[in-house]
Amino acid sequence: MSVTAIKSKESAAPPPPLPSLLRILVLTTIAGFILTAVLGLVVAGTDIEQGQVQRLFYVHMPSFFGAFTAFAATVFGGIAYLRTRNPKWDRLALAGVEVGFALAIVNLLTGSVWARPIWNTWWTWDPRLTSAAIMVLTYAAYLMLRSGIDNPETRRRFASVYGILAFSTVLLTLFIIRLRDDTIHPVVVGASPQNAQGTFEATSGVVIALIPSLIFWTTLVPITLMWLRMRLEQMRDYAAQRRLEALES
Amino acid sequence: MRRLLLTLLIGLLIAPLSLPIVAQDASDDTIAPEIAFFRGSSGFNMPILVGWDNESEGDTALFVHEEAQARILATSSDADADAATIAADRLGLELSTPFYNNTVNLSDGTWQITLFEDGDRAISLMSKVAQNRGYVLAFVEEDPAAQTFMLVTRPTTEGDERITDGLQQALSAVSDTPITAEDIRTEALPSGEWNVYNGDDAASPTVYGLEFGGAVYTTVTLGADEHVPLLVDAWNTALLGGFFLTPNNIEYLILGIIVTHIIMLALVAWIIVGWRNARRDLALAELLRSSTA
Repeated sequence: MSVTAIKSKESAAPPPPLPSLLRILVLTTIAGFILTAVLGLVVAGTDIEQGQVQRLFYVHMPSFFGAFTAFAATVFGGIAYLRTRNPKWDRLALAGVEVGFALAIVNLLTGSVWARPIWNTWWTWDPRLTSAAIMVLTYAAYLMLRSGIDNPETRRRFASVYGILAFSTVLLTLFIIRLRDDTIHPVVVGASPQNAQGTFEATSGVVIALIPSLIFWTTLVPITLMWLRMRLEQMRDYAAQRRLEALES
Repeated sequence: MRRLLLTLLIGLLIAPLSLPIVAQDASDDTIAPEIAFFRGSSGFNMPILVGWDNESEGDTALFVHEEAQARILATSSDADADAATIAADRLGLELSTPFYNNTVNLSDGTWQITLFEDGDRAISLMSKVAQNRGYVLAFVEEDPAAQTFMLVTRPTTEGDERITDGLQQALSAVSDTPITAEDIRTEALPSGEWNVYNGDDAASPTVYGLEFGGAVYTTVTLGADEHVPLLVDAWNTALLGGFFLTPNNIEYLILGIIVTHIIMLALVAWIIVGWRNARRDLALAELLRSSTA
């Protein structure tokens, strides 16, 4: 990393020792992973029309909402950074993109694997699938463009604005199946052009596996991973600052 | 901030406790399936026939109608087992040589149709091999006054002649009586609008036919039987209305789980490796500082 790349007005502090709350979160996330796996693979019954592959539902949909949480954190971090110019908010935004990107990839790939036996294809240019692919590519571009800017302040400012604007692709992906009637992707909750009644039809077995999975993937997974990722970025910033100080001295 | 995070965490931990209540509410409020299904242990599904005695167990669905003296059975066996032998075994019958044997391609595969006649007993079998298992649907009618057979035909003609062709093909299995389009009327049954051939007199055969998916689902009755519409509806509900196999696609579930684990573990590994590298960088920077000081 060049000296220009790490020059910044602010001074980074070393990350504090692992907080007990984060330890609890990590342990809770591991326990939640086991719990939701048991609920999705054992407790929930087999879908008689789709077979075992339907169990991917308990990862596929919740992982999208986990990505939503992470990308929303990026928006929050971006706005907070633009207002305060405090790098900690930029770290939150970056952590949100990286975690959200991983969860969006999980969503996309589990959907593709699920589609193969049910739709008889790995991929189709359906509005929902296309918008999800655009969303993933948009955030991939965020990571690539961000790494290409040396000046930290310029990079953070650019990333903040980009992260806020990129969230439009998340909203587009979320709502497109409610706007377009030419999609084959099902709408699970709420009204759509295909399901005007807007009901959520599910057996108790599905609900008891889906709700914990939603809670797990939407809160525990992104919050825990983003916190860990923010600590890593803080450590990197601090190491870079100490190296700069060593070079200057 | 710390208190807020703690509150959030406690809330998340308490939330799952409400799940049984949520699930209970969901089971009360949500719409139950309109048709209840029997699920065979080998993965086939069969609608539970309303008004019929349900004597299903294990991997055999069996519905009995005492008044109509009819039984409908669905079961499975090894792929190389003889369908007639399996059905006869489950029904407690001894089957002779079939007088009709044919195959028909339907949307869910190729079915073998076999008809047997054993005194007053009329037996119709439909069997197919799928997912390395053999599946048999059997209709048995034991009314001494009539014989009813179930067939599916695939007309070779186009347009309005298709129904006539389909009914004629079915009737040809048991009788030489010719059918013309003028002989066919329609009759509304709970399962749909059926085309019916009655013949000229009470002794003539009766043929019911419903076209769906390029095939004609037919019922042929020799003799007088007031229960024919009931039998037509029941067989149609069992076969056309709902017999299907739950696909065996566990390999895709495993693939999805592997993909999920790879991505999430890669992210965790990326964070752990990044942390170690950052600490090494920091140690190097501290070494540099101490050496230059």
